[in-house]
Amino acid sequence: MATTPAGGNGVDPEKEQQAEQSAKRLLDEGATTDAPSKKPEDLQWLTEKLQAQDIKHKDAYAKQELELRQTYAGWLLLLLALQLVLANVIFWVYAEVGEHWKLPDGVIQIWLGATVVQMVGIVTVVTVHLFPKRDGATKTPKSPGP
Amino acid sequence: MTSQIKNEAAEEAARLLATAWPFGSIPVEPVTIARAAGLRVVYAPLDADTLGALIKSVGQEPTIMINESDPDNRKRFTCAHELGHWVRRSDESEEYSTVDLRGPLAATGDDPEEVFANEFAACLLMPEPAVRSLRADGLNDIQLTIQFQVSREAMQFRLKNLGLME
Repeated sequence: MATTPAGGNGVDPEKEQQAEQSAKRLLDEGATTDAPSKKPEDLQWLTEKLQAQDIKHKDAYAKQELELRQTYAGWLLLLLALQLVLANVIFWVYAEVGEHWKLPDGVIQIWLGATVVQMVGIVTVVTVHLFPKRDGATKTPKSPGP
Repeated sequence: MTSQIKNEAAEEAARLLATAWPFGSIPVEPVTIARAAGLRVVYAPLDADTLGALIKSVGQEPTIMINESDPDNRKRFTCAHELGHWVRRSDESEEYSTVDLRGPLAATGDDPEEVFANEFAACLLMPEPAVRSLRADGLNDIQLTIQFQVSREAMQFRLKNLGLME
């Protein structure tokens, strides 16, 4: 017969022995009743409550994320507008005052090209990184395989 | 040493919950889990000083005995505690018994068997994810006590161990 040793919990071993004998006697005599139990299905409502809480937390997180993106997007667009205005003003001053609109072809091409690239770059950043796909995938370059 | 025992108890409790309490609902019903694990669970007119017992006799299924005079929350913890003793047993003795008496150090003693059983019971009745979730939802220790159907003392111990006590 293996019995868990007493000790460490401030309990008298003799008292423990007596309690054990008493418990066994009750068991042998059948002086016990089956303990009632509930099935997990009976408590399903609480699971649903926890799931609802989880959805609420995710919703709050998504709201925060959206607000953050709005802030980012607002500042980016403002900076873009300032950049465009500044670049155009400088270009106009250069063309009107400095060169009297006798500009080399290369300058015009580079200016137009740079403006387009800037617009495309900002649009790409906004659409790809501020509004990534729902599955979380973004257009990131794949690392070369082995 | 104690922390290692507690970790083992937490792992065993989580494993048993995943297997025998699939819906993850609370309050956890230790009697249902014990029966699913093949144990018999009975109420008995045990001595006033006896909380519960785990008894295995030859040719019979292990039986958890719970003092029928105890309040419901105490009965639930005793059942989970005895279940912890049963999980802890690695030997395959045909006969064994464990009796738990009320004592001044029942919850804080350093006997490895009791440390394991107490931690196991706490983790089984108050699963960490559920406690954290409801705590984050703003429930205080009294509300959590009601939700998990444990004693306030047990809940406060659990919150303290999880670092969630205010």
